[in-house]
Amino acid sequence: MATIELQQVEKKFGDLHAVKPMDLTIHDGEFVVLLGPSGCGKTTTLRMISGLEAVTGGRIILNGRDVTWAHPSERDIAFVFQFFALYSHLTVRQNIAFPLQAQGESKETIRQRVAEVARLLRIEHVLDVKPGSLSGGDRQRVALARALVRRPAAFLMDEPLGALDAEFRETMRAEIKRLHIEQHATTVYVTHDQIEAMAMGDRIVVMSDAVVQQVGTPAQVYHDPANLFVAHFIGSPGMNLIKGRYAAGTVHLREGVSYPVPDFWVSTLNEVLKGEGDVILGFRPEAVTVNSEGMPATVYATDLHGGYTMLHLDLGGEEIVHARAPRSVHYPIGTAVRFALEPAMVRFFDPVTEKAIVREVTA
Amino acid sequence: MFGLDIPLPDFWIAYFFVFWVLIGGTTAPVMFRHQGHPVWLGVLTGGVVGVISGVVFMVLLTVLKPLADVVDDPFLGILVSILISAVLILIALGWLRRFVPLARANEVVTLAEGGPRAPVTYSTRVDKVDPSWLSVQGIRATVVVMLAVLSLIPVVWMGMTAFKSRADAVASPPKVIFEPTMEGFISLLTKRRQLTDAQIAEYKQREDLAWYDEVMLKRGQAIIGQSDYVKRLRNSLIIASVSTVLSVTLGLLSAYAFSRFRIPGEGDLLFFILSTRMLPPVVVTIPIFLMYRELGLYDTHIGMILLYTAFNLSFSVWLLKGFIDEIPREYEEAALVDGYTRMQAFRKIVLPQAVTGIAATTVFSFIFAWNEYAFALMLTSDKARTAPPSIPSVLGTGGIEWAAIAAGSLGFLIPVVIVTFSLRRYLLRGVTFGAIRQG
Amino acid sequence: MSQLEMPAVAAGPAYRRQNQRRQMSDRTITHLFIWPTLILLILMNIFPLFYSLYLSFNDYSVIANEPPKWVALDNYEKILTNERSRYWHNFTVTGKYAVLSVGLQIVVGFGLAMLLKEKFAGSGLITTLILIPMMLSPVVVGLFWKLIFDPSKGIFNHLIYMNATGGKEWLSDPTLALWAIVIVDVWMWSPFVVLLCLSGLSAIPSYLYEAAAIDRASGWFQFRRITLPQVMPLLLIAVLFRTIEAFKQFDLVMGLTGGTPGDATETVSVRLYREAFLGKFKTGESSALAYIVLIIIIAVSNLYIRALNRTREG
Repeated sequence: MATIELQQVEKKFGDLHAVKPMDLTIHDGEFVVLLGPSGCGKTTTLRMISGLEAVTGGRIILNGRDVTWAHPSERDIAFVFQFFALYSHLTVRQNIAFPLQAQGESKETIRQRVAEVARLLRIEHVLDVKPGSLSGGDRQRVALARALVRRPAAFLMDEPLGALDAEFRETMRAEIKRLHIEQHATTVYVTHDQIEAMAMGDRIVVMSDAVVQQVGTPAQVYHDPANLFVAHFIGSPGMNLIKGRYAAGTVHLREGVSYPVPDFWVSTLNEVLKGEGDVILGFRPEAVTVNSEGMPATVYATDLHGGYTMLHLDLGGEEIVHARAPRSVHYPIGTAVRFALEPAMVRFFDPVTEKAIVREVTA
Repeated sequence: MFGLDIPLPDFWIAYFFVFWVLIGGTTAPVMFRHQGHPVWLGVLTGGVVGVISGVVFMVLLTVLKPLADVVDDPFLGILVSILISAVLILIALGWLRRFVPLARANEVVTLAEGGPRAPVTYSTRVDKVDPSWLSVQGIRATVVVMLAVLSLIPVVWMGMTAFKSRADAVASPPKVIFEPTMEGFISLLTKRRQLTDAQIAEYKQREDLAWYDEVMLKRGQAIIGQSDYVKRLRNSLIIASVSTVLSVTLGLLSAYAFSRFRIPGEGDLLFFILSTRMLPPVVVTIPIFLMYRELGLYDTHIGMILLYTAFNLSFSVWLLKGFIDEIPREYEEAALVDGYTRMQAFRKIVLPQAVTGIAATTVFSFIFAWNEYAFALMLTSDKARTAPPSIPSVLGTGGIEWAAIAAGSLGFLIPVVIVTFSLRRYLLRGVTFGAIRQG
Repeated sequence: MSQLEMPAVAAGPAYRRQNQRRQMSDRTITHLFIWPTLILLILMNIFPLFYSLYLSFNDYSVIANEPPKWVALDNYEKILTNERSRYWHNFTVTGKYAVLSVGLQIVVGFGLAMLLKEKFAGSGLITTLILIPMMLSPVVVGLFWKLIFDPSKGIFNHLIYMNATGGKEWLSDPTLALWAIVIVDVWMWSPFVVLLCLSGLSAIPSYLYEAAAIDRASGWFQFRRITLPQVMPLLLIAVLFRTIEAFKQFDLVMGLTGGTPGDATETVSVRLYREAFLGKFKTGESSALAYIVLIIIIAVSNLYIRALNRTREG
């Protein structure tokens, strides 16, 4: 198994930066998800690791070996494509065996290893048919089998579930995760689906506009977003972000509405904003509790979800706050409500740099 | 050249020199760029290397000359020695490539060892920035260009012949450099009379001679009128245009019906329509000949127009159906809901959107009718005879008038070549009846 | 259908009146649109086809003042068995020509398409230039190649051999004359194969090659397992089109050799023309010959179409 190291890796298309110089270290056995909206550079990054895209600058180190200019086949990696990329004129068995044949393995080894991965992925019954007659899920299993059979140092997956129906996608997600836990293989996984990223990744690399926005565990990325982009992009809906002005332990959101900052934030904000300044208040919908003494708002709309209700609360300005409320309570549109925030789940952002304001942890 | 007895005609010597210069000019810059040198330096070096390669190539050919005796066929001998020499030189160039030094780093290079010095700012695979791969691409492009040049020789040669004088056209060995004249065109389009010496002297005195009279006078001939070819061309034009308009109009209507309405046995009908085009013309000509003779349509414009219309119909139905299929039905359905009739929707929605398709079909149909030979040969004799069957019969007094034939062919080809260029996006559809569509 | 009532409801009474006057049912329009085409095709293709079938069972000549005489299968028998009329020779010539020229066209066309596959600066222009020959008039092409092949005045020998003396008499040597026709046909129609192959090659998804690169597949494997299977259907279509055309071959031969020397390059179509429209005008016999050609074309097409369906399923 392997570590993958990107040092100042960048990619330009003409004058346009597809990936700005980035550093990233992926540890042995780690499942790292590259997440971001389309066009953010995540697929380009993955393709650069595989060698399917030549870098404009920087180095790629695989297991301590500089592979920046090595041929894709010399990198000891396996790549799983969104559209499976199976050889349609070979049977499933021949497809899976193919990378081994190319490596010149003995017939016996090939037979054994193919049988092994077929069992692992439960595709033994389709080994002798051609990929054309398989379902999307089975095709992706075959593609995974072809990747696994080589026992590569790392797996690179480019939206492998993107071409599947919703039904297969859930099943395959679990299957890939299970495979990873069993095989403990270094995996880099590209997706634009944050639910997939949260469910599968040991760490998530959030990218946008060719730049890495944040690298962290799913919990870190969700609860402590590094900047406004991550705060907004992660979660559905994303974090509520409300502009306000901080002064003396209170954030004034607008005329008559202010939020008293929890005590443990006061010293940090005083220091960072030098007593007074513009700030963005951020909190997740589940941090909101509707009560009788908090900030005033009117119900703008309600979405009924399975286990809860999402309230859209109008604060009076342009701001709409999403709040999660129990399903049992019914709020007609236009109802005046008040709400409070769970102090531990409140975050602050600098409106100029768009970065999160980090609280110093004092002992 | 260089006192060498090169076993190749001048043309091929020039051809191979161009080839090697192109090889040098496309491969050397690749290596120079990879090592961080400016591209112009590579092109310059490549040109020089190309010329040297050309010289070496010629020397090798001369050295390998005895090979022709071994294989006992001059053509095969030269072919084999060309291949051997080319491979030897390419191997040598591949080896020399390694001696291109690395440019001194004048900026901070963040790149890893083994990569190109010039940053890769386009989308490509790692193995495809490797200089050896790029060099092969350069060689591949050169080979394609040189093959294209070869394949165009006949067309170019015909163009040249059209401007040659009668004597130059049949000169042996063929003349590459000649004095251009319009003789071919004039003799194609005119009837002439041979003049005696006295008459020539008399004609020379006259002041009212046009430039074409002067040209023919040099040949000792006086123009006495238009040739039949003018009439044939006119026939070609009339028959091709009218039949094209008809077949496109009828084809458009049927294509629309096939594309938009449910027609019982639609697949079979369409196949039937297509199959009519697969019939060899000669198979149907006999009965059509008899039929036309009965109906008085033999050697008439109407007869040929009907025939060409029928033969182009299958083509235009298939091609246009493909184009109309691509226009979303929703546009018309919206128009129908808005209160337009089917006919109005067809006129106002479908026609404007199918314009490119109609244009492509028109041109392809026209070219077919314009080029058609077999029917015209068998079903016309004089009144309605078109140009293709009459070009072969443009005979002069002293044997075949090649310049005139070339002139006729050239005049005939120019519209076709223009069309090929303007329609290249639809060429694939055009030649496969729209069965295969191109991106 | 629905549009009959819908607009009338939407628009006012004035519009309704105008509409009713003009409105035709889709059925009427369908008939109006397709019947002119069908009638013309039946008149110019189907009727002649049956007429021709009838004539093929008769002894008849258009220049004789005698009505057709029913002879049943005599014409067919004569063509297929009579040695002296040498029809088998025409079929052999056509067959040889078809196999040689279609085979070479596929090789040359596919090769050129592989060379043109990767784009380079100016490759679009080059592709278009290469395609010019197939748009030209075959008889004109035949004619000027006649000059090119001329042993002393033509450039062909001058380009292939040092000088005219070592050159060959392309059009007057019986074996070479057929090759001459094949050469011209290959020159003219390889572009067609190029065009088809290029469209097939450009449709191959690039991720297949990427997967192969990661799997360490050799160039040969990529060609055999990715390129060839994907281009195969188009290659077969090219073969089908070109084979049918080869059996129809008439214009080019007429322009280039007219069947000479002797009858060395006389294809079936040329023979047919000679029998039907020159000399004795043997209308009945040539109709029978035409039918045999037709049957061969249909049979060959069927074989190819079956092969095509097989590759598409596989």
